[in-house]
Amino acid sequence: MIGEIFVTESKLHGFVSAALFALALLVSLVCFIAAVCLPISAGVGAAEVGFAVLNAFSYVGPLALLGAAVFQRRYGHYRMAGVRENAVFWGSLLAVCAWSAAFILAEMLAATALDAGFFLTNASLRNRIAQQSFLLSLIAHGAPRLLFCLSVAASVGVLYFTFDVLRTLARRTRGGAAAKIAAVFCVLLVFAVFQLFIAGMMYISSAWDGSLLLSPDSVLPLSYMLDTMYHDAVKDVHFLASALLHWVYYAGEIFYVFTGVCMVKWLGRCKNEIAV
Amino acid sequence: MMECYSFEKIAKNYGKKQVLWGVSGKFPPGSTVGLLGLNGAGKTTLLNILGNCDRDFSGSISLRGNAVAYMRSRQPFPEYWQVREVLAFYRRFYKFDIFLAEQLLGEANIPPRSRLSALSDGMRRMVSFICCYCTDAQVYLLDEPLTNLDINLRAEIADLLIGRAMEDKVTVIATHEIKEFENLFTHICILRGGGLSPLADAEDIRAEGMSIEEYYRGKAK
Repeated sequence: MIGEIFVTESKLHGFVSAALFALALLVSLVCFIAAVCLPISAGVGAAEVGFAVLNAFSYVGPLALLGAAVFQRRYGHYRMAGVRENAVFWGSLLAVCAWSAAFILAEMLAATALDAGFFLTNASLRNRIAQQSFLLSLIAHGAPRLLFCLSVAASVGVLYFTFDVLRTLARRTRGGAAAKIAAVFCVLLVFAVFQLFIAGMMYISSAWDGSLLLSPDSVLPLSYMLDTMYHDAVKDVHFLASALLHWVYYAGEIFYVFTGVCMVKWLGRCKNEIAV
Repeated sequence: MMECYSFEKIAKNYGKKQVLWGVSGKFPPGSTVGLLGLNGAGKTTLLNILGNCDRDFSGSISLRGNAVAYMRSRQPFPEYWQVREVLAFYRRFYKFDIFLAEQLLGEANIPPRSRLSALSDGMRRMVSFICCYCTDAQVYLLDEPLTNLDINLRAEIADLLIGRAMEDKVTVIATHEIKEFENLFTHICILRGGGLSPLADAEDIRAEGMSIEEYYRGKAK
Protein backbone atom coordinates (compact mmCIF):
# COMPACT_ATOMS: atom_id res chain seq x y z
CA MET A 1 0.00 0.00 0.00
CA ILE A 2 2.89 2.34 0.82
CA GLY A 3 4.22 1.75 -2.70
CA GLU A 4 0.87 2.72 -4.27
CA ILE A 5 0.78 5.91 -2.19
CA PHE A 6 4.37 6.66 -3.19
CA VAL A 7 3.45 6.31 -6.88
CA THR A 8 0.35 8.49 -6.45
CA GLU A 9 2.26 11.21 -4.59
CA SER A 10 5.12 11.10 -7.07
CA LYS A 11 3.10 12.78 -9.81
CA LEU A 12 3.05 16.13 -8.01
CA HIS A 13 6.52 15.71 -6.51
CA GLY A 14 7.97 14.88 -9.92
CA PHE A 15 6.38 17.96 -11.43
CA VAL A 16 7.58 20.26 -8.61
CA SER A 17 11.10 18.81 -8.73
CA ALA A 18 11.36 19.01 -12.52
CA ALA A 19 10.03 22.58 -12.66
CA LEU A 20 12.33 23.91 -9.92
CA PHE A 21 15.35 22.03 -11.22
CA ALA A 22 14.77 23.30 -14.75
CA LEU A 23 14.52 26.85 -13.43
CA ALA A 24 17.71 26.55 -11.36
CA LEU A 25 19.56 24.92 -14.23
CA LEU A 26 18.45 27.56 -16.70
CA VAL A 27 19.58 30.46 -14.50
CA SER A 28 22.89 28.82 -13.65
CA LEU A 29 23.57 28.05 -17.33
CA VAL A 30 22.94 31.68 -18.25
CA CYS A 31 25.37 32.68 -15.50
CA PHE A 32 27.89 30.13 -16.77
CA ILE A 33 27.75 31.53 -20.30
CA ALA A 34 28.01 35.08 -18.95
CA ALA A 35 30.97 34.12 -16.74
CA VAL A 36 32.85 32.58 -19.63
CA CYS A 37 32.15 35.50 -21.97
CA LEU A 38 32.71 38.39 -19.55
CA PRO A 39 36.10 39.70 -18.39
CA ILE A 40 37.47 37.68 -15.50
CA SER A 41 36.59 40.14 -12.70
CA ALA A 42 32.92 40.30 -13.77
CA GLY A 43 32.99 36.62 -14.73
CA VAL A 44 33.80 35.57 -11.18
CA GLY A 45 30.71 37.43 -9.94
CA ALA A 46 28.49 35.80 -12.58
CA ALA A 47 29.88 32.35 -11.77
CA GLU A 48 29.26 32.87 -8.05
CA VAL A 49 25.67 33.89 -8.80
CA GLY A 50 25.23 30.70 -10.87
CA PHE A 51 26.44 28.52 -8.01
CA ALA A 52 24.48 30.57 -5.47
CA VAL A 53 21.26 29.88 -7.40
CA LEU A 54 21.91 26.14 -7.27
CA ASN A 55 22.77 26.41 -3.55
CA ALA A 56 19.62 28.44 -2.85
CA PHE A 57 17.49 25.88 -4.68
CA SER A 58 18.91 23.20 -2.39
CA TYR A 59 16.64 24.87 0.19
CA VAL A 60 13.79 25.88 -2.10
CA GLY A 61 13.39 22.45 -3.72
CA PRO A 62 13.10 20.26 -0.61
CA LEU A 63 10.93 22.84 1.18
CA ALA A 64 8.64 23.08 -1.88
CA LEU A 65 8.36 19.28 -1.90
CA LEU A 66 7.49 19.40 1.79
CA GLY A 67 4.80 21.99 0.99
CA ALA A 68 3.47 19.77 -1.80
CA ALA A 69 3.23 16.80 0.56
CA VAL A 70 1.37 18.89 3.15
CA PHE A 71 -0.93 20.22 0.42
CA GLN A 72 -1.77 16.70 -0.78
CA ARG A 73 -2.82 15.62 2.73
CA ARG A 74 -5.75 18.08 2.55
CA TYR A 75 -7.60 15.73 0.22
CA GLY A 76 -9.51 12.67 1.37
CA HIS A 77 -8.92 10.35 -1.55
CA TYR A 78 -6.76 7.85 0.34
CA ARG A 79 -9.26 7.69 3.19
CA MET A 80 -12.10 7.08 0.74
CA ALA A 81 -10.14 4.18 -0.75
CA GLY A 82 -9.93 2.62 2.70
CA VAL A 83 -6.20 3.21 3.20
CA ARG A 84 -5.12 3.28 6.82
CA GLU A 85 -3.92 6.68 8.08
CA ASN A 86 -0.62 5.14 9.11
CA ALA A 87 0.03 3.88 5.59
CA VAL A 88 -0.84 7.31 4.16
CA PHE A 89 1.76 8.89 6.44
CA TRP A 90 4.51 6.41 5.60
CA GLY A 91 3.78 6.54 1.87
CA SER A 92 3.83 10.34 1.85
CA LEU A 93 6.97 10.42 3.99
CA LEU A 94 8.74 8.01 1.66
CA ALA A 95 7.73 10.11 -1.36
CA VAL A 96 8.85 13.44 0.09
CA CYS A 97 12.18 12.00 1.32
CA ALA A 98 12.94 10.15 -1.92
CA TRP A 99 12.10 13.12 -4.13
CA SER A 100 14.08 15.51 -1.92
CA ALA A 101 17.12 13.23 -2.18
CA ALA A 102 16.64 12.93 -5.95
CA PHE A 103 16.32 16.70 -6.29
CA ILE A 104 19.53 17.36 -4.36
CA LEU A 105 21.31 14.65 -6.34
CA ALA A 106 20.24 16.33 -9.59
CA GLU A 107 21.42 19.68 -8.22
CA MET A 108 24.77 18.17 -7.24
CA LEU A 109 25.24 16.74 -10.70
CA ALA A 110 24.35 20.11 -12.21
CA ALA A 111 26.77 21.93 -9.90
CA THR A 112 29.45 19.35 -10.69
CA ALA A 113 28.88 19.82 -14.42
CA LEU A 114 29.07 23.57 -14.01
CA ASP A 115 32.26 23.21 -11.98
CA ALA A 116 33.71 20.90 -14.64
CA GLY A 117 32.73 23.43 -17.28
CA PHE A 118 34.75 26.14 -15.54
CA PHE A 119 37.59 23.68 -14.94
CA LEU A 120 37.83 22.89 -18.64
CA THR A 121 37.14 26.33 -20.11
CA ASN A 122 38.66 28.80 -17.67
CA ALA A 123 40.60 27.28 -14.77
CA SER A 124 41.98 30.62 -13.63
CA LEU A 125 38.44 31.97 -13.22
CA ARG A 126 37.48 28.86 -11.23
CA ASN A 127 40.37 29.42 -8.85
CA ARG A 128 39.00 32.85 -7.95
CA ILE A 129 35.46 31.65 -7.13
CA ALA A 130 34.70 31.63 -3.37
CA GLN A 131 34.98 28.19 -1.75
CA GLN A 132 31.42 28.36 -0.35
CA SER A 133 30.06 28.42 -3.90
CA PHE A 134 31.12 24.81 -4.42
CA LEU A 135 28.78 23.50 -1.72
CA LEU A 136 27.18 20.99 -4.10
CA SER A 137 30.12 20.22 -6.38
CA LEU A 138 31.45 16.67 -6.30
CA ILE A 139 34.63 17.79 -8.03
CA ALA A 140 35.40 20.15 -5.15
CA HIS A 141 34.39 17.78 -2.34
CA GLY A 142 34.50 14.25 -3.70
CA ALA A 143 31.95 11.43 -3.64
CA PRO A 144 31.37 11.44 0.17
CA ARG A 145 29.48 14.70 -0.34
CA LEU A 146 26.71 12.53 -1.84
CA LEU A 147 25.69 11.83 1.79
CA PHE A 148 24.32 15.34 1.63
CA CYS A 149 21.34 14.01 -0.41
CA LEU A 150 20.39 11.59 2.36
CA SER A 151 20.85 14.20 5.05
CA VAL A 152 18.56 16.67 3.29
CA ALA A 153 15.98 13.89 2.82
CA ALA A 154 16.19 13.10 6.55
CA SER A 155 15.78 16.79 7.48
CA VAL A 156 12.68 17.10 5.29
CA GLY A 157 11.43 13.84 6.78
CA VAL A 158 11.75 15.23 10.32
CA LEU A 159 9.84 18.37 9.29
CA TYR A 160 7.09 16.29 7.65
CA PHE A 161 6.95 14.13 10.75
CA THR A 162 6.43 17.30 12.82
CA PHE A 163 3.54 18.29 10.56
CA ASP A 164 2.00 14.85 10.97
CA VAL A 165 2.27 14.96 14.78
CA LEU A 166 0.73 18.45 14.88
CA ARG A 167 -2.05 17.33 12.55
CA THR A 168 -2.81 14.29 14.66
CA LEU A 169 -2.87 16.39 17.83
CA ALA A 170 -5.14 19.00 16.26
CA ARG A 171 -7.58 16.35 15.09
CA ARG A 172 -7.54 13.99 18.05
CA THR A 173 -7.28 16.19 21.10
CA ARG A 174 -10.65 16.50 22.81
CA GLY A 175 -11.80 19.42 24.93
CA GLY A 176 -12.04 22.37 22.59
CA ALA A 177 -9.59 24.90 21.24
CA ALA A 178 -7.68 25.38 24.52
CA ALA A 179 -6.80 21.67 24.70
CA LYS A 180 -5.71 21.64 21.05
CA ILE A 181 -3.50 24.70 21.58
CA ALA A 182 -2.01 23.07 24.69
CA ALA A 183 -1.27 19.89 22.72
CA VAL A 184 0.38 21.80 19.89
CA PHE A 185 2.38 23.74 22.49
CA CYS A 186 3.62 20.41 23.89
CA VAL A 187 5.02 19.41 20.48
CA LEU A 188 6.66 22.79 20.05
CA LEU A 189 8.13 22.40 23.52
CA VAL A 190 9.60 19.02 22.60
CA PHE A 191 10.95 20.56 19.39
CA ALA A 192 12.48 23.40 21.44
CA VAL A 193 14.08 20.91 23.83
CA PHE A 194 15.48 19.06 20.83
CA GLN A 195 16.94 22.30 19.47
CA LEU A 196 18.23 23.39 22.88
CA PHE A 197 19.93 20.06 23.37
CA ILE A 198 21.67 20.42 20.03
CA ALA A 199 22.55 24.03 20.73
CA GLY A 200 23.97 23.10 24.13
CA MET A 201 26.03 20.29 22.71
CA MET A 202 27.29 22.56 19.97
CA TYR A 203 28.24 25.25 22.46
CA ILE A 204 30.02 22.83 24.77
CA SER A 205 31.87 21.24 21.92
CA SER A 206 32.46 24.33 19.83
CA ALA A 207 35.95 23.21 19.04
CA TRP A 208 34.78 19.76 18.06
CA ASP A 209 33.82 19.08 14.48
CA GLY A 210 31.16 16.40 14.82
CA SER A 211 30.44 16.21 11.12
CA LEU A 212 30.56 12.79 9.52
CA LEU A 213 32.46 14.28 6.63
CA LEU A 214 36.06 14.96 7.44
CA SER A 215 37.33 18.50 7.48
CA PRO A 216 37.63 20.50 5.26
CA ASP A 217 34.70 18.82 3.47
CA SER A 218 32.45 18.62 6.52
CA VAL A 219 29.04 20.25 6.39
CA LEU A 220 28.16 22.25 9.47
CA PRO A 221 24.60 22.82 10.57
CA LEU A 222 23.38 26.37 10.44
CA SER A 223 22.78 26.46 14.21
CA TYR A 224 26.48 25.81 14.77
CA MET A 225 27.22 29.22 13.39
CA LEU A 226 24.31 30.90 15.21
CA ASP A 227 24.97 29.29 18.59
CA THR A 228 28.68 29.80 18.72
CA MET A 229 28.84 33.01 16.68
CA TYR A 230 31.68 31.27 14.97
CA HIS A 231 31.91 30.52 11.31
CA ASP A 232 34.61 28.38 9.84
CA ALA A 233 35.34 29.82 6.42
CA VAL A 234 36.61 26.49 5.15
CA LYS A 235 33.56 24.45 6.09
CA ASP A 236 30.16 24.61 4.40
CA VAL A 237 27.03 25.61 6.24
CA HIS A 238 23.64 24.19 5.29
CA PHE A 239 20.61 23.99 7.53
CA LEU A 240 19.18 20.83 5.96
CA ALA A 241 22.53 19.03 6.02
CA SER A 242 22.66 18.47 9.75
CA ALA A 243 20.20 15.59 10.12
CA LEU A 244 22.57 12.81 9.14
CA LEU A 245 25.91 14.52 8.74
CA HIS A 246 26.42 15.61 12.30
CA TRP A 247 26.72 13.31 15.29
CA VAL A 248 25.23 15.81 17.72
CA TYR A 249 21.94 15.74 15.85
CA TYR A 250 21.41 12.00 16.17
CA ALA A 251 20.54 11.95 19.86
CA GLY A 252 18.27 14.99 19.55
CA GLU A 253 16.46 13.55 16.54
CA ILE A 254 15.99 10.14 18.10
CA PHE A 255 14.59 11.76 21.25
CA TYR A 256 12.30 14.00 19.24
CA VAL A 257 10.98 11.34 16.86
CA PHE A 258 10.52 8.86 19.72
CA THR A 259 8.44 11.42 21.66
CA GLY A 260 6.36 12.22 18.58
CA VAL A 261 5.74 8.55 17.79
CA CYS A 262 4.65 7.96 21.41
CA MET A 263 2.22 10.90 21.19
CA VAL A 264 0.68 9.60 17.96
CA LYS A 265 0.45 6.04 19.34
CA TRP A 266 -1.12 7.27 22.54
CA LEU A 267 -3.76 9.42 20.83
CA GLY A 268 -4.25 7.23 17.78
CA ARG A 269 -4.63 8.74 14.34
CA CYS A 270 -8.38 8.24 14.43
CA LYS A 271 -11.01 6.75 16.70
CA ASN A 272 -12.15 3.91 14.49
CA GLU A 273 -9.35 2.83 12.15
CA ILE A 274 -9.96 0.26 9.44
CA ALA A 275 -8.86 -3.22 10.52
CA VAL A 276 -5.84 -4.74 8.80
CA MET B 1 -22.70 -15.33 -1.45
CA MET B 2 -22.28 -12.06 0.36
CA GLU B 3 -23.63 -11.78 3.88
CA CYS B 4 -25.87 -8.95 4.99
CA TYR B 5 -24.15 -5.59 5.13
CA SER B 6 -24.69 -4.21 8.60
CA PHE B 7 -23.66 -1.42 10.91
CA GLU B 8 -24.45 -1.04 14.57
CA LYS B 9 -24.76 1.79 17.03
CA ILE B 10 -23.05 4.37 14.83
CA ALA B 11 -22.76 7.61 16.81
CA LYS B 12 -21.15 10.80 15.63
CA ASN B 13 -20.96 14.31 16.95
CA TYR B 14 -19.50 17.56 15.64
CA GLY B 15 -18.32 19.28 18.80
CA LYS B 16 -21.33 19.46 21.08
CA LYS B 17 -23.79 18.73 18.29
CA GLN B 18 -24.78 15.07 18.17
CA VAL B 19 -25.68 14.15 14.58
CA LEU B 20 -26.11 10.38 14.76
CA TRP B 21 -27.37 8.59 17.86
CA GLY B 22 -26.56 4.91 17.68
CA VAL B 23 -27.71 4.29 14.12
CA SER B 24 -28.05 0.61 13.17
CA GLY B 25 -28.98 -1.05 9.91
CA LYS B 26 -28.84 -4.37 8.14
CA PHE B 27 -29.10 -4.51 4.34
CA PRO B 28 -29.54 -7.85 2.54
CA PRO B 29 -27.36 -8.72 -0.49
CA GLY B 30 -28.90 -7.73 -3.80
CA SER B 31 -30.75 -4.81 -2.24
CA THR B 32 -30.92 -1.23 -3.48
CA VAL B 33 -31.66 0.85 -0.43
CA GLY B 34 -32.99 4.38 -0.57
CA LEU B 35 -31.56 6.39 2.30
CA LEU B 36 -33.99 9.26 2.69
CA GLY B 37 -34.13 12.20 5.01
CA LEU B 38 -34.49 15.94 5.19
CA ASN B 39 -31.57 18.31 4.79
CA GLY B 40 -29.29 18.09 7.81
CA ALA B 41 -30.64 14.71 8.87
CA GLY B 42 -27.15 13.18 8.67
CA LYS B 43 -27.29 11.21 5.41
CA THR B 44 -23.91 12.42 4.17
CA THR B 45 -22.41 12.02 7.64
CA LEU B 46 -23.59 8.40 7.75
CA LEU B 47 -22.31 7.70 4.23
CA ASN B 48 -18.96 9.33 5.04
CA ILE B 49 -18.65 6.94 7.96
CA LEU B 50 -19.75 3.88 5.97
CA GLY B 51 -17.54 4.96 3.06
CA ASN B 52 -14.28 5.09 5.09
CA CYS B 53 -13.94 8.87 4.88
CA ASP B 54 -14.83 9.70 8.46
CA ARG B 55 -13.16 7.51 11.06
CA ASP B 56 -13.91 9.52 14.17
CA PHE B 57 -17.10 7.78 15.23
CA SER B 58 -18.19 5.04 17.59
CA GLY B 59 -19.95 1.87 16.55
CA SER B 60 -19.14 -0.99 14.21
CA ILE B 61 -19.49 -1.73 10.50
CA SER B 62 -19.39 -5.22 8.97
CA LEU B 63 -17.52 -4.24 5.82
CA ARG B 64 -14.96 -1.45 5.30
CA GLY B 65 -11.88 -0.69 3.23
CA ASN B 66 -11.80 -1.07 -0.55
CA ALA B 67 -14.72 -3.51 -0.52
CA VAL B 68 -16.85 -0.38 -0.29
CA ALA B 69 -17.09 2.02 -3.24
CA TYR B 70 -18.32 5.47 -2.37
CA MET B 71 -19.49 8.24 -4.65
CA ARG B 72 -19.12 11.33 -2.50
CA SER B 73 -21.21 14.42 -2.92
CA ARG B 74 -17.96 16.40 -2.93
CA GLN B 75 -15.02 15.38 -5.11
CA PRO B 76 -12.19 14.10 -2.85
CA PHE B 77 -9.46 14.40 -5.50
CA PRO B 78 -7.14 17.35 -6.11
CA GLU B 79 -8.63 19.72 -8.67
CA TYR B 80 -5.50 19.71 -10.82
CA TRP B 81 -5.75 15.96 -11.45
CA GLN B 82 -6.73 14.78 -14.89
CA VAL B 83 -9.63 12.35 -15.28
CA ARG B 84 -7.20 9.61 -16.34
CA GLU B 85 -5.26 10.13 -13.09
CA VAL B 86 -8.46 9.51 -11.17
CA LEU B 87 -8.92 6.28 -13.13
CA ALA B 88 -5.30 5.32 -12.40
CA PHE B 89 -5.93 5.99 -8.72
CA TYR B 90 -8.95 3.67 -8.70
CA ARG B 91 -6.96 1.04 -10.58
CA ARG B 92 -4.23 1.26 -7.94
CA PHE B 93 -6.42 1.05 -4.87
CA TYR B 94 -9.47 -0.98 -5.97
CA LYS B 95 -10.36 -3.87 -8.22
CA PHE B 96 -11.33 -1.66 -11.11
CA ASP B 97 -12.61 -2.22 -14.64
CA ILE B 98 -10.72 0.50 -16.48
CA PHE B 99 -11.97 -0.53 -19.93
CA LEU B 100 -15.58 -0.13 -18.89
CA ALA B 101 -14.73 3.19 -17.22
CA GLU B 102 -13.09 4.51 -20.40
CA GLN B 103 -16.07 3.35 -22.45
CA LEU B 104 -18.55 5.09 -20.12
CA LEU B 105 -16.46 8.26 -20.09
CA GLY B 106 -16.52 8.22 -23.90
CA GLU B 107 -20.29 7.82 -23.93
CA ALA B 108 -20.60 10.78 -21.54
CA ASN B 109 -18.23 12.85 -23.75
CA ILE B 110 -15.71 13.36 -20.94
CA PRO B 111 -12.14 13.50 -22.29
CA PRO B 112 -9.74 11.47 -20.08
CA ARG B 113 -7.10 14.21 -20.36
CA SER B 114 -9.38 16.92 -18.95
CA ARG B 115 -8.44 18.35 -15.60
CA LEU B 116 -11.11 18.05 -12.94
CA SER B 117 -11.03 21.81 -12.52
CA ALA B 118 -11.98 22.20 -16.18
CA LEU B 119 -15.07 20.00 -15.93
CA SER B 120 -18.55 21.21 -15.10
CA ASP B 121 -20.12 20.12 -11.81
CA GLY B 122 -22.29 17.63 -13.66
CA MET B 123 -19.35 16.10 -15.50
CA ARG B 124 -17.40 15.83 -12.24
CA ARG B 125 -20.29 13.98 -10.68
CA MET B 126 -20.45 11.71 -13.69
CA VAL B 127 -16.73 10.94 -13.33
CA SER B 128 -17.34 10.10 -9.67
CA PHE B 129 -20.26 7.87 -10.58
CA ILE B 130 -18.36 6.06 -13.33
CA CYS B 131 -15.40 5.42 -11.01
CA CYS B 132 -17.68 4.12 -8.30
CA TYR B 133 -19.71 2.00 -10.72
CA CYS B 134 -16.67 0.38 -12.36
CA THR B 135 -15.21 -0.69 -9.03
CA ASP B 136 -15.63 -4.32 -8.13
CA ALA B 137 -16.93 -3.79 -4.60
CA GLN B 138 -19.44 -5.47 -2.32
CA VAL B 139 -21.16 -2.28 -1.27
CA TYR B 140 -21.86 0.85 -3.33
CA LEU B 141 -22.68 4.09 -1.56
CA LEU B 142 -24.05 6.91 -3.71
CA ASP B 143 -24.58 10.34 -2.21
CA GLU B 144 -26.97 12.44 -4.31
CA PRO B 145 -25.86 10.81 -7.58
CA LEU B 146 -28.18 12.86 -9.80
CA THR B 147 -27.39 16.35 -8.54
CA ASN B 148 -26.36 18.75 -11.33
CA LEU B 149 -26.81 16.13 -14.05
CA ASP B 150 -28.71 16.71 -17.28
CA ILE B 151 -31.56 14.40 -18.34
CA ASN B 152 -29.33 12.27 -20.56
CA LEU B 153 -26.81 11.55 -17.84
CA ARG B 154 -29.60 10.94 -15.32
CA ALA B 155 -31.12 8.35 -17.64
CA GLU B 156 -27.72 6.73 -18.17
CA ILE B 157 -27.11 6.45 -14.42
CA ALA B 158 -30.57 5.01 -13.83
CA ASP B 159 -30.01 2.44 -16.61
CA LEU B 160 -26.63 1.41 -15.25
CA LEU B 161 -28.02 0.99 -11.75
CA ILE B 162 -30.93 -1.10 -13.05
CA GLY B 163 -28.37 -3.31 -14.78
CA ARG B 164 -26.57 -3.77 -11.49
CA ALA B 165 -29.75 -4.46 -9.50
CA MET B 166 -29.60 -8.16 -10.37
CA GLU B 167 -26.14 -8.58 -8.88
CA ASP B 168 -25.43 -9.84 -5.40
CA LYS B 169 -24.34 -6.42 -4.11
CA VAL B 170 -25.69 -3.79 -1.77
CA THR B 171 -26.35 -0.34 -3.20
CA VAL B 172 -27.26 2.52 -0.87
CA ILE B 173 -28.52 5.72 -2.50
CA ALA B 174 -28.97 8.87 -0.46
CA THR B 175 -31.17 11.21 -2.45
CA HIS B 176 -33.90 13.80 -2.48
CA GLU B 177 -34.88 12.84 -6.01
CA ILE B 178 -37.05 9.92 -5.12
CA LYS B 179 -39.11 9.81 -8.32
CA GLU B 180 -36.03 9.07 -10.41
CA PHE B 181 -35.31 5.94 -8.37
CA GLU B 182 -38.92 5.03 -7.63
CA ASN B 183 -38.76 1.69 -9.40
CA LEU B 184 -35.17 0.90 -8.48
CA PHE B 185 -35.39 0.88 -4.70
CA THR B 186 -35.95 -2.50 -3.11
CA HIS B 187 -35.84 -1.09 0.41
CA ILE B 188 -36.29 2.26 2.08
CA CYS B 189 -34.99 3.67 5.34
CA ILE B 190 -35.44 7.14 6.68
CA LEU B 191 -32.90 9.05 8.73
CA ARG B 192 -34.55 11.42 11.18
CA GLY B 193 -33.59 12.95 14.51
CA GLY B 194 -30.23 11.16 14.48
CA GLY B 195 -31.84 7.73 14.16
CA LEU B 196 -32.57 5.36 11.29
CA SER B 197 -36.03 3.90 10.76
CA PRO B 198 -36.41 0.13 10.30
CA LEU B 199 -35.84 -1.11 6.76
CA ALA B 200 -39.10 -0.99 4.82
CA ASP B 201 -39.61 -3.29 1.84
CA ALA B 202 -40.48 -1.25 -1.26
CA GLU B 203 -42.72 -4.06 -2.54
CA ASP B 204 -44.84 -3.85 0.61
CA ILE B 205 -45.16 -0.09 0.19
CA ARG B 206 -46.24 -0.51 -3.42
CA ALA B 207 -48.65 -3.28 -2.40
CA GLU B 208 -50.36 -0.77 -0.12
CA GLY B 209 -50.96 1.40 -3.20
CA MET B 210 -48.43 4.04 -2.20
CA SER B 211 -45.51 5.36 -4.14
CA ILE B 212 -42.15 5.63 -2.36
CA GLU B 213 -42.50 9.41 -2.39
CA GLU B 214 -45.95 9.23 -0.74
CA TYR B 215 -44.59 6.84 1.85
CA TYR B 216 -41.68 9.18 2.57
CA ARG B 217 -43.94 12.24 2.81
CA GLY B 218 -46.06 10.41 5.34
CA LYS B 219 -43.06 9.39 7.43
CA ALA B 220 -41.20 12.69 7.15
CA LYS B 221 -44.03 14.77 8.53
